[in-house]
Amino acid sequence: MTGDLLIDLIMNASSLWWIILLGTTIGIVIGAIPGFGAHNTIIILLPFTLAVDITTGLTFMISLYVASHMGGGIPAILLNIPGTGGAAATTLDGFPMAQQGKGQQALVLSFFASTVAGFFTSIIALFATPYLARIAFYLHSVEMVVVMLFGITLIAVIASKDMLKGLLSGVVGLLIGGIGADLIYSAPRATFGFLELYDGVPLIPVLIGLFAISEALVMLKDDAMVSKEGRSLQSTAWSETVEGLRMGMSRLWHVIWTGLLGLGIGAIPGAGASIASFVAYQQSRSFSKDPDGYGKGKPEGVLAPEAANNGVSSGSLIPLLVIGIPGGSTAAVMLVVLTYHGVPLGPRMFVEVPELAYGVFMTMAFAYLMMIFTILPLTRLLSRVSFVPTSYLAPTIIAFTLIGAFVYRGYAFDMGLAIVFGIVGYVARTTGYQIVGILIGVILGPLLEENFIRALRIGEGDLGVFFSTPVANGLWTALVLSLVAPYLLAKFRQR
Amino acid sequence: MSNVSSVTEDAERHERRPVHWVDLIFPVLGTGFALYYVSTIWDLPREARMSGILLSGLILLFSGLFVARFIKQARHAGIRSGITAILGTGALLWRRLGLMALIIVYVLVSPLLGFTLSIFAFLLASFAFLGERSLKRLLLTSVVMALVGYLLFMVVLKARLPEGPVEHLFDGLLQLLGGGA
Repeated sequence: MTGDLLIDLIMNASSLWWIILLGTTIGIVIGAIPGFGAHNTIIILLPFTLAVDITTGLTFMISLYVASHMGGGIPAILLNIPGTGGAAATTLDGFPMAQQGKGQQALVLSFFASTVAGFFTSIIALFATPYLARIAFYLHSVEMVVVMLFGITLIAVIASKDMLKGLLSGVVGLLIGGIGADLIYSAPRATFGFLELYDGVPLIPVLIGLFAISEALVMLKDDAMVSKEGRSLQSTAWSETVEGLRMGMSRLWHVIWTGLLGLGIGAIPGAGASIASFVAYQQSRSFSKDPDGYGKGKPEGVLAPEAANNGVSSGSLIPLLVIGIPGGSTAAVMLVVLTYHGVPLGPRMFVEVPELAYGVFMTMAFAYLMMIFTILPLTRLLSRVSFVPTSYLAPTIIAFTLIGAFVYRGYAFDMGLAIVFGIVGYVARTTGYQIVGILIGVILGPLLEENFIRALRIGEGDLGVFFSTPVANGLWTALVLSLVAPYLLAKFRQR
Repeated sequence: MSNVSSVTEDAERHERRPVHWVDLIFPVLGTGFALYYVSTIWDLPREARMSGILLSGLILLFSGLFVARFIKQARHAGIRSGITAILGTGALLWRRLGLMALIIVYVLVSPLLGFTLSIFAFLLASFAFLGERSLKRLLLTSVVMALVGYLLFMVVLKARLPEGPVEHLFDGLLQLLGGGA
């Protein structure tokens, strides 16, 4: 990366400060709504991100994404309900702090850890990603097929509670991605007779259905997302904010190393913030001189998971940018938008549109910097969003997301498709199948097929070609190990 | 909470808990889809059908393994329908089914009524159906949401959305004022 490019990136990011401000504000609010993550918000605002130019759209998505990770800590601390999966570990010490009347301190600790770790890991990712991108030059058709299968497998193994259900979700997603005209003879496959599916399954209706509509149907089980008891737990004294900042500053190194842990885990497709925050919490406790204090309102118990889940924000975008494979649900949504705008992913992105590839991390760093000054003073007011009744929330989500499904191609058919995938997503959620796995499968399906056919042609039709290179064989070994290792380790621990 | 321990806990929980018929919905639908997919590529040359056949094979394999595990658990811990676990019961069931019906009506009428009017009608009907009784609040929220949607998506972003009487009326008004959506 040249000095000129670095200056351009700084100028670009700072010129879009108002988009970053808008994105971070919305992201914090949305992150505070339990179960309604950044990906859903980006989906709701998809018409916006598709209508504006890609730089503005991407800046908005990135800002919203990083802020939602931070917002997830608000209900986790005040109400013992994590706003996002990544904030689940924050409840362990955050909520006890709130019960002890230190709710505002815990919120400040959470914001401090999020902004510091997020800023630090974004800067590291900004400089490290181009080197990581070189990995992609070693990945040809054969290796890409194995990488994609490995990605799906990792998502099933790490992110899913039931590996078999996770694998089934991912493979069904891959086959859904294979709907439409085939790449060689243009023969229609599994289109159910619909002309609208000849070009393949449109991604936006799929993700709107799987995530937004199914979530809206699930949330109806409660009148409000948060119980009334939690409201009385909010503190309003400014001295609490100052004390929280002092506590955070005195544990700066703790924030940095747990943030780095999050960055590393986030770079693994499928690992995500939920895993990273629990791993960071566990490691923080392991290295602590007072491990028994964890779970009883220890500040490090809030700092570690929050730093890690914000480190994941930068990490999970690395596989998307480097090899074009989304590391999580939000990255998957971003992939859809980038593809819509015709942005090439992988190494080509760093050559053809370096300002976008590097700009992602510069925007992140700016978003975190801005949030220090904008969000911290609003600590006391933000959590009120969690109290919006679901009877208002669910129809609003459905009404506006279905617009996104229509806008994509202008077909009313796509709204119907979103409903179908909404039902599929609802059934999958309620029976323990994984919608992230399905979505990533749908996204990777056409890519897998393209690379599969290319590799077969190179190997003159011999399936042995997939075991013909050391890199591919190494990846196959890793894939098999990732499937077998959890069971072996579990049996070992049982002894 | 490591992944390793969750594997062990999951395995133990699987053994103890009764299984639900509804858990089979996804594998059965997946298998049906895989077979349908294969039927549509069967006549294609080998190269074109290979990836579809391999993926369908994987679906059949994983579904088969799931069914085998399902039967084993059912023998140990019994079997239940589980339909209430996914749909809910009583009022919740009706809330979900009713909202689903309203969504379908919304999708069907929006090309006819236009975006603004259909979103207003959908929100009004949904809020009322889900329990809002204050007519003033119902109307106010629905009108504000529909207008915000119209201004944001159709006027500001100029998104291609279905047009109906309200959009034509607003277009006329905006043109009179020297603008135009």
